[in-house]
Amino acid sequence: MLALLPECENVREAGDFVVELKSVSKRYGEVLAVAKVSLGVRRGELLCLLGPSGCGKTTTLRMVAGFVEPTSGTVSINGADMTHQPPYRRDTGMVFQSYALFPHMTVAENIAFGLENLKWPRDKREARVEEMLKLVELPHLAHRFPSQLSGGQQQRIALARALAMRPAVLLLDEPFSNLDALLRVRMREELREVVRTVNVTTLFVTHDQEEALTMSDRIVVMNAGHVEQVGTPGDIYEAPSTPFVARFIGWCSLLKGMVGPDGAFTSSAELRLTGNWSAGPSTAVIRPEHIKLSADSAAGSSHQARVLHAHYYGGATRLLLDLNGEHLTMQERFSFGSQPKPGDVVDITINTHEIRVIPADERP
Amino acid sequence: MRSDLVDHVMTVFGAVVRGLVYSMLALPAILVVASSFTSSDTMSFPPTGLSLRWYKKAFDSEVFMSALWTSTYVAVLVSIIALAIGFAAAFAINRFSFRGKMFLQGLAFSPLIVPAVVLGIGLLQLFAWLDLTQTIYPLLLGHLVLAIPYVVRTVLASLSLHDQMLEQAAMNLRATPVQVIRRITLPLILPGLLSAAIFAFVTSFGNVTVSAFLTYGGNVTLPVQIFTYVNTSYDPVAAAVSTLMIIVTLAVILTVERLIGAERLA
Repeated sequence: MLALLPECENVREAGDFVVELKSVSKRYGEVLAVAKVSLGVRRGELLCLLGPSGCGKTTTLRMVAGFVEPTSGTVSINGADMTHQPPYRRDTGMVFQSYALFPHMTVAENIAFGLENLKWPRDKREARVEEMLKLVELPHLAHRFPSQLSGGQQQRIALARALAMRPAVLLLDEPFSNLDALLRVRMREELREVVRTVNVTTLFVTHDQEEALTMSDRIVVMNAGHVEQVGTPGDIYEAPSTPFVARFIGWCSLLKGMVGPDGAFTSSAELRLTGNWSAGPSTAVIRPEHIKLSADSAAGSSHQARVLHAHYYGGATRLLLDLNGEHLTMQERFSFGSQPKPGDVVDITINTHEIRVIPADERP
Repeated sequence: MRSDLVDHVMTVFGAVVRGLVYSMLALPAILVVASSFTSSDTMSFPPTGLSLRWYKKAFDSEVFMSALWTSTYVAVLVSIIALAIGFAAAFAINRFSFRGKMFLQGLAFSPLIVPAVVLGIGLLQLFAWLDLTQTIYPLLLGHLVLAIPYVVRTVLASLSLHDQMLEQAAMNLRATPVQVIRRITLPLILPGLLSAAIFAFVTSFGNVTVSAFLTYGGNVTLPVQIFTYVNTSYDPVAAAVSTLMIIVTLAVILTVERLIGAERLA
């Protein structure tokens, strides 16, 4: 009975995670590009690696694909250790940032390439190519060359090519960065649709927080080679676990300060916010939507603040406020002509139930 | 006004220089071709009369025809071998960092620095020592040494322009390294490979300096044969044979360019 236990554990793990990284690091000379990253991609989910450029997210993706060999740690796909396997032995399908379609092959030949290497018989190959072209809604382009396609079409073909092999995991490396803003939003929706249709486990790299929030089931926020936080888009936005995550996702004001024994937060400029947080040095994360003008002073305490800047965005105005020397940002819709000007004093309330207070960073 | 005048003078001057350069480049070949059709007994320009008698004499000449065969044979072999070795060297230099990489690169280009005469003498001594002078190997190896730098240069240039992301994509699509080279790298750098082959062919086919030292068993290459022939006689058969040489070279270049063009269309 006992001997069976580890095996059961393995089976359960394989079912849970299609891709699993255990304490993976990558060192380039003196630079630690990825530092002890552990994460798992669950079957069928779309997991996003999000972070600023140079945070190690692309290196992490390339370690899953097999283009970069980890300095330490293990990479497994479907429960099998792939750490030192070359890319062509790994069950992944990748869409490259530049799409990397083969310029000397037609669209159909591009899609069939992987199937040929997998030794699919010709008739099955042709049927699969047709099926994939239908999936991305470009069946009429089968005999074109990549140079004859638009950016959006190239991207869809690259996706079809990666998915044709039915890979265990689809890897996407900043797939929208070469598209213009409008097309980007449309392709985002299309991609999400295709991924749902074929129900493929997806690992996705981006530096665009909006892309991550709208597309992902879960997000891994990375910074300087390590994982800052893993969670659903809601977790990440509403309950950032580090100041970095708060600042990186969405707009926010960060106040440094201290939570006293009574559970109230006092900023270094003596701004006091009552609550029930755990005592110790902390950072308060206040998002624009947590601050309201004090017509409804029911929630939280009321403060007087001076307007430093007012930025008109059409639908709303973003105000930079000075409150006892702390700078806060709020967003409000003002009727025409009633815009506050710099120097005006406004009454505001801070919704202390919604703001997040993060205990000071204990990481060395 | 003044600058207009300067512009004008420069334009005219440029055109004159261009014209001079082009004619200096083309004139020797034109003179040789023209004088090969002469009916008189000496090479002269302009040719007197028009006849193909010197071509007939050239085709009937056992010495020239066997030299033409030797030259073509050697040049084709050299192109193929130089391409294989040059591609391997260029690929290694382009893709990998290893000890002695700079040395390999320097070595690959060094024959360009050593004067051909010195190379010829050196190779002659080497092969005499190896007791290989009565074979075709000295000629082959000598030409290879001359051709490889050009091949490495050309292939290296096309490899550095080649998008390696495509190879990674192929590998992600389950292609083994050998399949990647065969189906992605080689087809995409084919134009570069073909021009490298042309360089190798032309270098071998037209060489006199090194070949003169390395001809074997009385079996000489065409340029060396022409050179020897012109030393002793001045009849237009040399012009006819030279024209044949130009035709062979042009045929090779045009065929290869045709191949590149066809590949680009596909």
